[in-house]
Amino acid sequence: MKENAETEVVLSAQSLHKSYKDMDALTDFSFEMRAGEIVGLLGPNGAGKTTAMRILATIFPPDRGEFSVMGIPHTRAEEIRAVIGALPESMGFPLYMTGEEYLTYMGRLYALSSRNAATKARDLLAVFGLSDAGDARIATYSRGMRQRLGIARTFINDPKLLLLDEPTLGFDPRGQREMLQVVRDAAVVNHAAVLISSHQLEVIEEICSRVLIMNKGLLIAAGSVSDVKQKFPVAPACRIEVSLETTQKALDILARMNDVKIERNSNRVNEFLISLSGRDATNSVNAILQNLTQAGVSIESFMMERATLSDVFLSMIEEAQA
Amino acid sequence: MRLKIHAKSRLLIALIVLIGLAPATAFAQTSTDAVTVTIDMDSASIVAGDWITFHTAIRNTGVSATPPLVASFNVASIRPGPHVDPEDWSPLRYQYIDAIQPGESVELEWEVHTLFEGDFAVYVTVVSQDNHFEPVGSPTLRVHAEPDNVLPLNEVIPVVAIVPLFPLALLLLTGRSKGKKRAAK
Amino acid sequence: MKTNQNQPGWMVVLSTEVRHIWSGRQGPLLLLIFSLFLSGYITLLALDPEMNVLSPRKMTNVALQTTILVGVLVALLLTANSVSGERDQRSLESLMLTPLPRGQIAIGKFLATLSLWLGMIPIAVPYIFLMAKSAGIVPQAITLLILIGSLLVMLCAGIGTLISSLAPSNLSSFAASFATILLLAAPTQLPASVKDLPAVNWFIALNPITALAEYQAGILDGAPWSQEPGLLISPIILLILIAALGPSFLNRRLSLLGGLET
Repeated sequence: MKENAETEVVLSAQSLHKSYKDMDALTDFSFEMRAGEIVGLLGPNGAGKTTAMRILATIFPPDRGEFSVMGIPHTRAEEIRAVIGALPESMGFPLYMTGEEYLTYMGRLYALSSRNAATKARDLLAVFGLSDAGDARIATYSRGMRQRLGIARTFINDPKLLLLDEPTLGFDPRGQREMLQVVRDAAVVNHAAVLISSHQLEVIEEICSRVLIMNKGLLIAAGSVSDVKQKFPVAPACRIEVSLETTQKALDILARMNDVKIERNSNRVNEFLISLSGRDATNSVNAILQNLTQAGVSIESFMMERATLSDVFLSMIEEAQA
Repeated sequence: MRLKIHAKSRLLIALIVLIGLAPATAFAQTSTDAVTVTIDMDSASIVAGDWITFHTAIRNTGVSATPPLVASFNVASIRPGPHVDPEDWSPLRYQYIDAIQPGESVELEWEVHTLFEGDFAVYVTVVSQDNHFEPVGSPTLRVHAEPDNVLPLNEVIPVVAIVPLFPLALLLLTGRSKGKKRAAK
Repeated sequence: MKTNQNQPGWMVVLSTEVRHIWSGRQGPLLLLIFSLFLSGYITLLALDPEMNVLSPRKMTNVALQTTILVGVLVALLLTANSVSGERDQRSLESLMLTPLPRGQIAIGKFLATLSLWLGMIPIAVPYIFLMAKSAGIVPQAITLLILIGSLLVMLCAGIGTLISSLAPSNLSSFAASFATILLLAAPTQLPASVKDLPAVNWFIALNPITALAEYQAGILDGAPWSQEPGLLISPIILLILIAALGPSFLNRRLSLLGGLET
């Protein structure tokens, strides 16, 4: 099958392995990414996400295994770096430079002429809302501004592969939304493949078409978000809101029921999240509603909760650690 | 009460004294008469920091060979001033000589580095290695060392005052241009 | 690897670092400190001749040694911070993410350091001229300042850059750089009688810093330039080795965390 721009394989990794002293940081790590894909990389602290990112960004060589970017083998690291953009977690900057000077410097290191690099720098500052701060020293930037600058830097060479490690750190909700839009545009408009590592699972769920879940250096799950949810089903849950006067009555009834676990909402005393651990969720829900109404509890709202990626992830990690 | 000493007794006493002192006076007499030290310069007028090279000749004018000898270089400041340490002034403080046969002489070369200005007496002394006779000294070489005046103040002051102004000016210029970079809002 | 038609990558690093040194106050401040030091030194010698009991030639040699030593220490200050400083402030990774071969990062920073020495030479010339004038050895002294000084600064800056590229932190880089140079320079203070011992003589010839110091002293004492050219062999060979092998070594070994493991 002939690959076109939308489906060409951008990144192919086979059996990557990396160990530090006695510890295996990455074991048998294999996956592929195609142009235009946005893939999430999840895992608890120490799972090996940053190691994987750094190997793919050619910061560290793998001990074993191989990978290629746009068909360039990992042994030609300088050529790979010319076509990727990477945002390390907690990246530092030369604080004496201004934002514009820094991006211009980076552009020149990516083979742009001084003029083109300066133009590109100004364009990126505008895209990431840093135009007004472009001639200010980076030392005076806030955390969020530095994060924007770091992301801007990843686009300096119009990369085919973006590796973003915790890109939303330091952003307020609006900034986060803007950043995600930029990432989407990179994938959709520029056909770049994007690999995002984040602890903010709602971000991953919103933007990624596929997820890779790691734990202790191993890839324990891979696939679309819905595939992963199906593979690791989480106990269904529903959210019930009752009238204030009948709150205690409802709690007493629910406490007497089997296969029901109640989680209170600290902000709203009359709202409960109920996890159903029985086999038949529908019957359980019917039983709950029937018992409550028969007791005279006034039900103000009821909603089945969709299992989030966060639920799936936590469940998966608990299972892996058990 | 006057002590009366008979003439015979006086003679006897004199004989005893002479016999007792004979060995010492014989050696002293031997060193003084048998070994002479001469020097080929009697004065030098130089600039402090210069080197002087001179030669001493040690001659055995006696009838028997001398014991092995040691010649040592010495220098004294004629006027009170900075401490003069012979070890700083010459790389060769001592020279060791084998026994000199009667009528023979040995020539030694000495180098002196005049470290600072002043008036100095340079001389060489010779003793026997078995320490059996008194030191014999050479005549004095009188050295007058003028101050070297390497760094006259009228030349130093302009340099030390003006040169730092250049980097200072550069520092002030770069400080002004750096001030144009502002803080982020 | 060239990053564009006109400027290789190391030149981009060099121009950026030079701009930082000279427009960022670091360079002018170090030059000012250097000139104030030399002014104080010369003034003390002029006011109190007893401070200096050496001949004009030897005094010029000591002044030249002092000037070059300060130049070396200043160069070391910059090079010891060059790569490990980036590592400490976590900005090295963004440089390593560019297509630039790792060795070129170090080359650019090394050459930028030498720009400071180029600024120190014209500052030092008036002082050396003053010292050497009375001994009548001004051309020799100025030539030695430029040749021997530049050779020594390049050597020490090269060693400092290598150490900084491998050191895990700025602190260890400074410590190792200064310790290395002081150890190499310490034998210049040995008494003449010890220096004459055959084994020590060999060490002095093999040690580039002591070899250059001996060569310099010989020239200022009146020896011809062609006397003891063997003393120039070890410093030139070491410089060639650093220049030839350093970049390719650092291409493989300059890592994010420092040390020799990749």
